[in-house]
This record gives sequence, structure tokens and C-alpha cells, in this order.
Amino acid sequence: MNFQTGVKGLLIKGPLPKRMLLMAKLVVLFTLVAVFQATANSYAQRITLKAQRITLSEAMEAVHEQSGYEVFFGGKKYGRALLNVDMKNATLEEAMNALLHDLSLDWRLSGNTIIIKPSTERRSAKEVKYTTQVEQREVTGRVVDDTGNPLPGATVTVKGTSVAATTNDAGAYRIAVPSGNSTLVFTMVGFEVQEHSVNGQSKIDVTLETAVSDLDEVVVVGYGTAKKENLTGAVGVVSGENIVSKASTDVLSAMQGQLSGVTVLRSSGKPGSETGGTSAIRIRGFSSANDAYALVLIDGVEGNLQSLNPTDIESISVLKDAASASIYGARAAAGVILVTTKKGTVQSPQISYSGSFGINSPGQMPQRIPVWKEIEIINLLRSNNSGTPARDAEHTSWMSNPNIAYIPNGARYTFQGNTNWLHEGTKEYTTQQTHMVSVSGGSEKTKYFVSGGFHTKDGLLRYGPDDFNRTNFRASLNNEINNYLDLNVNVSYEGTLQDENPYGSENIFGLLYNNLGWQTIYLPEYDTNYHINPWNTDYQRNPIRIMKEGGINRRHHQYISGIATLHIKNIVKGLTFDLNVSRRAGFINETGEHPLLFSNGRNGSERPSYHVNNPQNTDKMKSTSYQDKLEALVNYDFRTSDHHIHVLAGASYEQYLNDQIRGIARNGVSNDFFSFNFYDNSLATNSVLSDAIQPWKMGSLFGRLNYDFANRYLLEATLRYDGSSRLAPGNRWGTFPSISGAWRISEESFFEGAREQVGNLKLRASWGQLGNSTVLKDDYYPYIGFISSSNHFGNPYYYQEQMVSTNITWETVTSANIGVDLGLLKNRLNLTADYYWKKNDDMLSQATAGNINGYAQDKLPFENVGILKVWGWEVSAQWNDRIGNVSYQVGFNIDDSQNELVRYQGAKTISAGTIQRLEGYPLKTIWGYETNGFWSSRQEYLDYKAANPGYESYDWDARLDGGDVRYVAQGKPDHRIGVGGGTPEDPGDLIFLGTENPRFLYGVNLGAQWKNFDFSVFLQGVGKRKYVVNNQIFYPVNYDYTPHSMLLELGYWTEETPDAYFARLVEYQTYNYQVSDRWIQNGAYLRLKNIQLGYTLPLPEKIFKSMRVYVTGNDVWEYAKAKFKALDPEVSNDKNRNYYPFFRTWTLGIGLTF
Amino acid sequence: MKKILLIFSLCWIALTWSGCDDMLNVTPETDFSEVDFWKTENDLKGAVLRLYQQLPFTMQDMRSDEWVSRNANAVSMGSRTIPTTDGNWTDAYQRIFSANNIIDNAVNASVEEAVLNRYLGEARFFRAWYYFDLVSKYGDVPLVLKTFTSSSDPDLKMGRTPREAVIQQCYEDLEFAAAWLPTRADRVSISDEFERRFVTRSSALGLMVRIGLHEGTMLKFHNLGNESLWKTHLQKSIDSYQLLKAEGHQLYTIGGPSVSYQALFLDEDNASNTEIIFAKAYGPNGTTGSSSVLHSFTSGTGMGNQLSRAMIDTYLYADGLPREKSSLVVTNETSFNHVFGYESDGVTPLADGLGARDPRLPLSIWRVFDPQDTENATVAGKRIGFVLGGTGEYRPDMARRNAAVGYTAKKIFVGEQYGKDDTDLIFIRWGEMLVAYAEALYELNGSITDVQLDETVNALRSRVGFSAKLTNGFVVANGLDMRKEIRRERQVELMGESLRYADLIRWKTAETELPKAWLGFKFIPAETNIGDQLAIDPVFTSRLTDAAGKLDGVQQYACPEASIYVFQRKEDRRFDPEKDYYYPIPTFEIGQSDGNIVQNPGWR
Repeated sequence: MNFQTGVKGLLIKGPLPKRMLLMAKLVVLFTLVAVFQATANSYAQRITLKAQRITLSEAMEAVHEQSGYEVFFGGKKYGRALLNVDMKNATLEEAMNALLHDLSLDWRLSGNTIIIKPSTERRSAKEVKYTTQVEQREVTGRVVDDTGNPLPGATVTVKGTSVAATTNDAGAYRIAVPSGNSTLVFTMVGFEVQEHSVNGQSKIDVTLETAVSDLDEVVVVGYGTAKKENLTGAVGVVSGENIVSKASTDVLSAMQGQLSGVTVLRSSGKPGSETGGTSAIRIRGFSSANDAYALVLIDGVEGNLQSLNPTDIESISVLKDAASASIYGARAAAGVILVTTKKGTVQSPQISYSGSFGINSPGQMPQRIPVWKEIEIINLLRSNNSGTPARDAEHTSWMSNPNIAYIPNGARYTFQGNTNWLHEGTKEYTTQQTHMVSVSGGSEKTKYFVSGGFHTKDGLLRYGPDDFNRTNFRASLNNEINNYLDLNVNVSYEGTLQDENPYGSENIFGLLYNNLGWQTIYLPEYDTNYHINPWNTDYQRNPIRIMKEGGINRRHHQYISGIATLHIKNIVKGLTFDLNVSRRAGFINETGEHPLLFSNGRNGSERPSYHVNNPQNTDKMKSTSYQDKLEALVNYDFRTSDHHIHVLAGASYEQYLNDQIRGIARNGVSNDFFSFNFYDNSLATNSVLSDAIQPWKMGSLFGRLNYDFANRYLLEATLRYDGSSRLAPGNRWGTFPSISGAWRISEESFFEGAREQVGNLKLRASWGQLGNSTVLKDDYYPYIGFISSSNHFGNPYYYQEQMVSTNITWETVTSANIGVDLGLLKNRLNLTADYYWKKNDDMLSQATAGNINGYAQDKLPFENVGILKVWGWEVSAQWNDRIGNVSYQVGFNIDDSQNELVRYQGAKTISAGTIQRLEGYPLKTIWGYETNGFWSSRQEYLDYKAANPGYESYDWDARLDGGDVRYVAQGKPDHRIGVGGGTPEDPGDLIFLGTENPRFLYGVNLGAQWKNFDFSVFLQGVGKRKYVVNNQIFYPVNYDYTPHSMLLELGYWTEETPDAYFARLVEYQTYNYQVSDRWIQNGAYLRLKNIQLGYTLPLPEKIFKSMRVYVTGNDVWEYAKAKFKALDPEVSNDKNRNYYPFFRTWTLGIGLTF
Repeated sequence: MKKILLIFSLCWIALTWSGCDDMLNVTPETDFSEVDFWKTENDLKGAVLRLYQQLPFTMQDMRSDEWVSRNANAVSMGSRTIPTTDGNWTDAYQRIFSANNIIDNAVNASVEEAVLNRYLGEARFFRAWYYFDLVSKYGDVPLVLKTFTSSSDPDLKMGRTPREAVIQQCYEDLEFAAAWLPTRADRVSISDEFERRFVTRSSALGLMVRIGLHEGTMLKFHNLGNESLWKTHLQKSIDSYQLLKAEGHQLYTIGGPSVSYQALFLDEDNASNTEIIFAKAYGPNGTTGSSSVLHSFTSGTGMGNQLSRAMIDTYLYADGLPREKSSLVVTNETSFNHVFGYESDGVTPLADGLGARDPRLPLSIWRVFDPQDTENATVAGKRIGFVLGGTGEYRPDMARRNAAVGYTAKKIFVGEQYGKDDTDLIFIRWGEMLVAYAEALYELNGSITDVQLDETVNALRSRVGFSAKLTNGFVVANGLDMRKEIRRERQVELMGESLRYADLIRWKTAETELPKAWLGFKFIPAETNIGDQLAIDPVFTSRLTDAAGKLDGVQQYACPEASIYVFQRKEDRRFDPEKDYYYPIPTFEIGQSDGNIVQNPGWR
């Protein structure tokens, strides 16, 4: 065997078969080591061993038993080498050196694993003896990570010798070096190796950099872990630190831009609703034209990312392709997100606190314009429409006068306020706070991790409820009961509380934008006896009053989950069993207190159409859900020198029950008191009661076979067999296979010469099928016919409304992936590129049938008859290096996804706007008219019509004038502008304007560390996207749509300003705002998502193990292509004025470890 | 060792997984599944009530020449195109589905056979009702007699069943219904607002009278079958009439000739109103949706639909002769009321009995200055007046934006406020049966006896005190056409009861009647509710006939009568006999059948 080729992973831990288990255990340990940066402090244990002619394996077994260190061999034949040993109370270093010094073997300590490898220098035994006898001097120092935290368990070796030491809990080491010219090598799993010349120094402090692309990195995959180098599928990993460092409110927001192929859609800055929840994350584009949500498993229990405490996260793995995800079968079509939380490690108890305080200020948002300008614009609009301004010159002049609030008007008063509603209704800034405490530690047998966290964030609305908080608790206990049994228990509590005005925060923003500026906030008490307190002005819903008196909607969601794992080992070599039992219980408690707010008109009369919460009501919803899972896993690992086989087989049974009850009581006895006990119960319509019991059950069998030959050729096959109660018995089972392979070219002998330049080259390919069960979310019994009931003049009647389907089954997404992993320049530059292709062949699409079927067309069942094709690519690159004592990292990722809806319900209809589903086109295509500026005058239009007989513009013929949008006829202009047949084949004058889907999503990660400072910048953006803004945004005025700042920023057409952006001002001008190439916005943007500067304080270790302070900015700057700079570039399509702005956040934080 | 291991592993997995398939069965707890339904009589009753809930009403059937409105009906004017989908098709099949669903599932209920058959009878009545509706519009239609339980059922692609087969199925269903449904007598005492109008044996028989006549004449005049075939249908109608007669139906005569023809639509008492054979029930008052069609029927007349001059002219004069023969005809009318035989005040008859008409005319249509909107203007206990500016007198409403300027209906009209009226809407009544019987006799035999005319046509006339009788002698003496007079009787008696269009189709007279000009009222400015103001409205006045009955030089009204409002000129109205006798089949239905459904002739 040629050791120079570095055949790794050949693990022998003694001849004892039971020790084959170590492979799996090591994998786990590597993970823990990599992540916790802390290992056993038992290196000081002494070794005593006396034996004749024992094998090295046996000797190492003894070392293992006495020291606790695991041993990892680099070559099998050395395990059989025979030794004579006689040592007493030797240190590990002494013992290992003594054992190995005749065998031309080197050893090093990596975490708490002793790695034995053939000596690279082929030193003779004598040389070894010599080097161990030279004069020694001592070097001390401290090893920290790139954030300044001490690294216990890091190995320091003298280069060219087997002299080694490890760091203690504080990261300190002490090592004897043979000479002043020696070089020290600092290694630690998960970190880049560093070398330092001693050069006569006696103190060398070292900062180890996280090895981002360390091939030894262990990645959490479905039902297990794998070394990154052995992956055959496409798995993206984000570390917990990368989540925490984003200082985002929730995990989803923090993931945005971090992984190629993972899109996170944000919706606004509304506390607790920054993202749309489960639907906000999209892995590799669409998987179905229907809903398809990623499966999120937190320590193996289905959960959600929004309520998770970010600091509890160890790592997040995103399984993107079929090969990695198909072990989750019917629920994996949209990808799988595996969250691993932190666990305890062997160490003395460590208490950590992290806290942060953040200031949020609103990001891009349209502003209000002064009243005098507002009335000028409204006058112009009205004049251009009817010839009469909204207010005569005198009134208009009053409105321009900030000193006049009201004018006597006969027996009444006319109010002429000067109100900036937006200013009055919103705060300048809001705050958020996060606090987290954790305790972790453990012994060899028992490890624990306990954490508690609290997060709170205030919203932008000045009055009333608009806030969110989250409380988390988590405890993990890993206990080795005996040599055969491990018991791991995880429990967690997640509680979120969101308070919102029942009118809806977004709707309140709508009022703040729409209410006329000359309305006053406060009006005198009105009296229904007309004219006693008379006032005379337009009166609209008052958002300030609604905020203050409009009541509250309180959404309290709590989840308790627990999982217990019994791990059985050491019975048969290579074989382990796991039995998992888990439950996630959800308690949803939503309470709405809705006081009635009256509105009175100008003469005091009631205006019921402006009443809010009419009638007064109490609305309560409570639901309890349980999701239970019982899972059994068998792992078998078999290995010869070149062949490695790992088999996983498992079965699981899962059940879910949601039990919900909702009640509404209307017309309570008081507007200040809300209870079901006090309301006008004389009317049957004053109470509404409903309940829902929604269960599903799922049974699954699954298995995976891994095979690798000589670590060069990797093959993996998985199969999952899923059955669901949600489908008819005949169609409830689905089989989801996958196969994948990889070729590690860089491990080939012929590649040897190139390894200096290309440290890693791996080709991957996978194929598989995944199921989408999200589509079944709301329909628990699609195969059972239900009887609907309604009332015919007070008598109940019953009927069947919905045709059922017993044929309906899983949507099956067939997916293929090819990828390459490349490590260049001593693996300082790592590249990964993937191309994928997905086809959902069995996409659920509503059946169509002639109407003789007797059901309404929208009551026909869904059948597996649709087809969606999706394809895309992902590239990510990472560069890590150091200049002097500045180490830096540059990361970049970009992806693209496209799709074509091949077949879906014969959807062929287009109109101006976004078409969600259109056969033969991507999802969410935008159609609209082509424009060519404005008509300069009515005469120009008439001349054009005369020159093109038959031509007529869209719906405005009689009134079309200069400053109106000039729509371009497609083909010969001999017809009226319109949608033609309303299909892509006969689109009339509609043209294809692009898709709403973001494309070319990218992220750029920059980081640098110098001494105790660390600095990082994260940029994120979208390369291509189109969006249509709801034309409410454009309407400068249609009665209650008031002009906003964009109208002035971009200008409107007048004869003097013919090149302005907006059309001429005229009331009722929907004509000008048809979806067209003029209004469609370019959604490309680049955002400074996160910038952070941290400093690790050089404090005495007696008090703190470490202390770091940092300042972070989130979403602090962006560059957008859109014309409408006043809207955040991430704004959703068809956004109207109900616009809750996104926040910019500056956070000051501290991290302490005791 | 390995074997033990293997067995152990398998057991391990089997343990957690065993019985999984059974464990995947869950049953709905808060949804009402069909498994729990169809058990009791109450379930059947609830299912059957769906049929009544779905029963559509027709406020005014605008397809014929009875009514006029500002917005001409596309069927009436011959401008309709082939639709993608059409409620005429879709809605009928959705209601047939409701009936089929009951027929398929009611057998699961544990009830006695007679009870079961009664509910089956209701379902089969409605199935026949809608199939007849489909056949009368489309001709051959797919005959669906089951509920589809799968969207991939190949029968969903079925083609059209010949109309004869569909009609035979209707007869079969109706005969079953007639055998098992309660009789009118059984229901006579029911006061429940719904059960009162549940279908009876009479309803089934009455529908057979209607279908038999329709099919018999349709086949006869359109040459769709041999003589013996269309005769069997007419015979079916006659036989059913005889059976129905034995059920004890009589013309409603309470209140006497001056009221009963109006009151029969308002009196909902089963015991007193034996004329009702099938009606849609409304009520109780005040519940959601209780308002009957009757209120809307005329509250809309000020706004939209009014009766045409052609309809007015159909009514006989007091001498029993039609407009083209009678000496009582008033020409050069100077008042709205002249056509009714009254002076402008609406009270004083014209001299010499001039203009005097069939008494059903003033019972059906408002005259100017008719007293209305008073507490006393009640018929069968219900207010019949309606508010119009509070003048207390009827005047043509020209003030409202979309006012139709035709003759305002009084028949089938209640003046109660919306939501305060629960009058039932009659679909089949004994009066129709009488004229249907007369027509069937005449078409079957080519003649009708005076005795038979007395039983039918003359009975209807005598109810309203119309003394001129239709006899074979009268017809001969005045050079009349018996067929035409029987048809006239039908048109007059059943005015506004949504039967006219189907009559025009089956008689094959639509091609001559519908292309005529669509005419409104005689415009006398001073008699409208806004006086002379409208006279200056050029748009309005440009649509009035000149003294010769012409508009822009084209004869729109056959009579030389000026100021007749022309809703639609005759040159704008078409009826293509090659295609318009049948509805076009929606393209969606043809496409979904993979072409098994073939379009009606002429439609492309």
C-alpha cells in the first residue's frame, strides 16, 4: 500500500470486533469537536502498560482504555506489528513515542483522537531517539479561534518530531521544543493548520481559523452524519455561528443568501412576520405549481425555523438533491432542512451569556408630502377630470397655511389640518433585545446542555399593539448508561407571542398613506343631534384612533418537543440500533378583543361603512396539536482494506392530531370588556362556534446503502416507502428511490503530481425521486365524500359538493444532479458547482370534465396530471488565507433556477398582470402592454388614429389627451388596444414582460481577523427579477388615495415636463396604469445584509474564559435597480399601500463565557 | 451469529412498523362524511330539500316577444354566439346530480319502502324536470343517470342521447313519482312553508301533460318523427291530463271574476288554491332569502323589463275577436289607456265599448291612473300596489335611469316590501293544464269539440267573466283559425309565466314572431310621471313611430299608430331557422367529451 496516496479513513481500533463501532462514534466525535471547540481535558492521564509481543492494536486499545483517547490508524498492517512494552505512569506523549518509535509511525492528537500515520520523513529509530534527547526549551502560549474564544484540545506539535502537547480549557499550552529553530504546528479538527517558527520566542499565541472547507468536516445528513469528502449528493451547511452572527430576529431571515440554491423570501419588518414562515424558504426553485414546503427537522423532530432560538443551533444542513433528501421520501420534494442543536461536551461546566440590544429604523418607505402640495396635486387631478378643482383658491390657500386648523363655515367649522399621518403614526426607531444563557458540560458518561433565551422586538406603529417576543428553553442530555446503551434526551420549549392591532398593521399603514393630509387627528366630540358640535370636512377612518382604541389580536404559540434516543451498540461488530421516540406538542392560543369604533359623518350622523370591528366581538381560537414519531434504525458498517459498506435500515410510524376550537361572541356588554360570559346572547347570530379535528398518520420504511471503494469511488442508494392516511387505501403507498455516486479524482494515483495545485477534485452525480405531500396539507380526507350543509329558509339541507378522488397520490418529483467539488491552492480556494434538473410528473392539478359531471369545476378533485419542469445551477466559492497576522475569508455563492409549467389544468388564459400558472411558461409570468412614452397632445393621438384606421387606444378614447400613456399596438395598428383572445397564442397587444421569480440570487461573505478584532461583511442580492406594483401605488389620487413622495421624486407629465415618469394627473386614470413595460419594476438589487465588527477583550482568564463585544448592522444599505426607490427591493409583487417597511438594524452585543 | 443478527434486525423494524397499513386508517370526526349520512328519513328529507333550494326561478323570460327591456336579450334578437360554458347546461346537470345522488344513495337509509320511494319519487321528479328543460333547449343531450365518483369515469366523455330516449326516461321517472308521491289531498292541510309546496302526484302528472304536449308538437312541426310517434306524446299528455283531473284540481275562483285571476298567484293556501300543481316555496317571512320572486317581479318593472305592445295586442277584444278583425279597435290613441278601452282617467270606459278587452288584460297590466300603493289595494290579503313617487296612481316611470318604457305588469305582483313577502312562485297550475289539454286534443285530432272547448278555453274565460266564447261556430263565422285561437288563449292566460319561448320553438313560429320589431308603449308625455320633460330628450323621441307606424321610413308597427316606442327595430332582430331552434352546445362540453358531443346544426 502506498501511503503517499493518503488512503484515509481506514480505521482499525484494535482487533476486538466490538470496536468497529468506533467509526460511527468517531464521526460523531468529530462533529462535536469541530463545533464545540472543546475536548476532554484528560490528556494528563497516565498510562501504565507491561506486555510482551502484543500487537500495536492491542497496545492502542490499552491506551484507549486508560486515557480515554480514541485511536485512528493510518494503515492496517501496522496494527499487527508486535511490540514489547514496559511503561509506568507514562504521559500520553511518552507512551506514544515509546510505542511508535521503532515503527516509523507518527502520531498526533486531534481533539481526543490519536491519529497514527506512517511517518512522512521515514525517520529511523535512531533519529527519533536523537531528537528526543536534544536540549529542550519550553514554549508557552494560547490558542484561540478567529473570534477570540480559547480553543481547548488543540494539538501543538514540534514539526518533524512526535513531540506534542494539547491546550487546556483556556486554550493555553506548554511544550518542550528541541531547539530554538524548531517549528510548531498547531492543529485542531475544524481549523486550518498553522505553523510558527519558534525563533527563540518563549511565548507564541496563535489564532486558528475555522476551516470552512475542511474535508474532514462532518456533515449532518438524513439519519446520520457523513464526512463532507464522502458526500455524493448536494448538501449545503450553515453553521450555528453564521446564523447567530447575522443578529436577525429569526433563523429564516438569517439564512437568506447564505447558501446557494436556498431562497428566503422576506415580506416586511412586521415583528414576528418578517418572513412568510414555512413558505418563505424555497430550495432550488419551485418543486410544484402547488404548495411545496421544505421539511424541517430539528434534531429529528418536525418543527419550524421561526420559533427556534438561533443560538441553540449547532448547524443546519440543507438537503437539496434527490440523493440526499430521498431518504425522507414523500415529504422531501421541496428539500429537507436538518437542524442540529448544541449538545454538551466533556468539560467542566461552562456558562455562556450572550445579549444584544438593537435599534431598528425603517428602511425604504414612501413618504408623505406636505398638505399644500397634496391639495395642489388633488386640485390638478380634479380639474383635469371635471374642470373643477377639489377646493377653491381660498380653501387651498388655507391648507397651505400651517397656522390655520379650522375655518368657521356658517354654523359649522371646516377643519384644515396639516397632518403628516405617517409621521404621526409611526416611531422614528424601535428596539429589539436578545438574551441567552446556556450551561454545558459533562463527563465521559454524561453530557448536558441547557439553554434559555428571550427575544423581543417592537414594531414601527406608534400606538397600540405591534410587537413580538420569543422565549426558548432547551435541554439536552447524553448519557452512556453502559457499554451497550446510550440514552440521549432532548427537550425544548418554544413560545412566541405576537400582538397586533385587529385592523392589521399593514392596513393601518394603508390608512397612514391614504388619509388626506388636511384631516385632523382629533375631532371634537360629535353629537348625534346634528350640528351641536358641527364640523365639516371629509372624514375617513382615523388610523391614530384605531391604533389607540382598536383592540388587540394576541397570537400565543407554544411548542414543546422532546425526543429520546436509545442507542444500542457493541453487541455485534459494526452494528448499532437506535430507537427514537419523539413528540412535538403545539398549543396555539389566539385571542382577539375587538371593540367597536364608531365613525360619524360631517353632520354627526353615523357612517357604518367606516365603523371598525362592527359588531364588537371577542374572538378566541385554541388549538392543540401533537405530532408523535416512533422510529427504529439499524446501522451496519462493514469494512475491508478497500471496501467500505454501510447499510442503514429503518422504519418509522408517525401520527399527528390537531384539535382546534374557535368561538366568536358578538355584541359584548361593554366595549372595554371581552368575554364569552357577557354578550347579547339573545340573538343566535351573535355567537359562532366551530371545531376541527385533523389527524394524519404516516408509516415509512427506508434504507440506505453506502459503498466506497478505496475512498475513491463512492456509491449510495436509498429507498423509502411511505404510506399516508391522507390517501385512499389503494394509493397511499409510494416508493421513492435514489442513487448517487461520486468519483474522487484527486485521490487517484495519477493525480498525485497535481495535488499541490488541486487538493481536491470530486465529481458527483445523483438521480432520484421525491414526494411532495405539502399539497395534502389542508385536505385530510381527499378520498372521502363529505356532506355539506346549509340553510334553506331555516331548514337544513344536505348535499355533496366535492367530488372525491381515490386515485390521488403523492406528487413525484424526479430529480437529477451533477456537481463538482474543487479544492485549489492547498485547499485555500474551494469551489462547488452543481447543475440540477427536476420534473414533477404527477403534479396535482384539478381535474377537468364536462359539466355533465354535476359538480362545479372548482369542486372536481385534484388528480396527478400536471407537469412542471425545473432546472438550475449553483456555484459557490470560498477563499481562506492570511496576510501577515490578518487572516481573511472571501465567500461567494450564486444560483439560478428556471421552470416551465408543462401541463396544469389547461391554464392558457392571460391578462395584464401576473399570471400565476400558464401552461408552456414559467410560473408567475408577467404580461402587459408595450408603451412608447406619452402622447404629447390629443391632436397627436387623433392624427395617429387617422393615419391608422381602426386604431383605438385602451378604454380612454374619448378623453385621451397629452400626458396619457401611449400603448403600442402589436402587429398592424388597426384595432383597439386589448388582450385579443387572452391566450399566449392570441395575446392581442399583451407582451411577455418577464417573471416575478427572483433569479441569480447571490451572496458575498467577507471576513477578516486581526489580533483581537474580527470584521465581517455580508452582501446579498438578486440579479434578475421583475415585479408589478399594485396601481394603488401609482394613483396619485382617486378620492382617498393621496399622493406620496414618489410622485414628486419622479415627476408627472405636464407640457413643461414631458419626460416625467408618471402620466398626467387626472382623476380616475386607471387607463394610464395598466400593467405595462413602463410600470414594471426591475427587482435586481444588492444589499449590505450584515456588517459586523467584534473585539475580544484580553481579560484575565480567572474571571471570564472569554468576552467579546461586537456591533452589527443589518440591512443597512442597498442598491436597487427599481425606479421606485421608496420601496424595498424585496417588496412582494402587487404590493399596495398597505406597506409595512423593512427595518435597518444596528445591534450592540456581548458574548461572555464563564 | 449473522442469522440471529438478521432476524433481530428484521424483528426490530417489524415491531415498529407492524400493522402500519391498518394504523393509517383515520376517520373524520368534525366533517360529516357520506358514511354517516344516508341513514335516516331525516337525512333523506335534508337531501331532498337541496332540490327545492336549487330550484331556479325565472323572473321574466326575456327570450320571447312577451317582454321588452333596454338591453335586448341575445336569444330573442338572434345575436347569441357559441359560449364556452353555459349555465343553461351546467346548472341543469348540477341539479340532475343532486337528484342522482339521492337516487344512488337513498337506498342505504333504513326506512320503509314507501317512504324511500316517496323520496326517490321527489328526486326522479326533479331529474325529469331538468332533463325536459335541457331537451327543450338543446334537443339531444347526454343522459346521465348516476353520480360520477371519479373524474376519470369514461362515461364523462359520453355523447348525446337521442331526445326521444331522454324523454322516455322522463316519463319513466315521472310515472314512478306519480305512483309514490303523496297526492294533493295528502298535502292539503300542510302549513309548513316548504312541505306545503313539496311535489305531489299531481306535479308529476302535470309535468307529463306539459312534456307530452311539448314533444308531440315539437316532433310534429319540426318533422322529427313519424306521425305515430308524435301522436303517442300527445296521447301521453291527454292521458296524464285525465289522471290529473281526478286529483281534484280546479280553477281558482275565490273573489270572483274581478279578482280571482290576479289572486290565484297570491293565495298560497293549499286548501283554497287548488289550481297550484307545482310551485317554489318561499318563506317564512323575515328569514334570509324569504322574499319571493313575485316582489322582484314588478319592483323591477320600473327599472327593467316590461311587457311589449305585441303582447298587449294579442289580447282579444270584448267581441271575442282579435285586433285584426275586431271593430272595437281604437286607432290614433291619444291616451295610454285607450288600448285598454278606457279614457285617460283610467276609470271611464270609452264610448260604445270601444277598445274593451279580454278582462285578463286589465288584471295583468297597469293602466295609467290605476290606484295603487294604498293599504286597501290588496288582493288575497296582499298589497299589490307599489311605491312610485307616492302619487297613489300608476304612471309609466320615466324618471329612473334604465326605465323600460313598455307596459308594466300587474299579474304575479306583490307590493310588499322586500323581505316582507314570502309568496310562492307557481310553476305548473291547472289553468295551463286546461289550455294544454285543448291544444293536445286539437293537434292530435285536428279538431276539438265545443264541449272540450267549454271544459278548457271557455272555462278560463268564464273565470274572468269574459263572455265571448270560443266555439267551432264562432271560428267559422268570423273566419278565424282554431289552432291560432287556442294558441292565443294559451299566450294570454299564461302571460308572463315563462312558457312563451318554448311555445314559439315547438310551434316553429319563432322564425316569424321573433324578427318583428320589439315595441314598447304608446308614449303620451303628460301621462308619464315626469310630464313633458322627456319629450325633449332627442334620444328617446328618435325612437318613436310616426303616424304610419314607421320609424325612419321602415314599418316597425303593423298598425298606423304614432308614438309607439321602438326598443329594437325589426331589422336588428333575426331568427335563423337553420340554427336558432336549438341552443348552441358550449365548446367546453364538446372539447371535454373528446368530440363525442356534436354541435347542433348551424352553429359554428
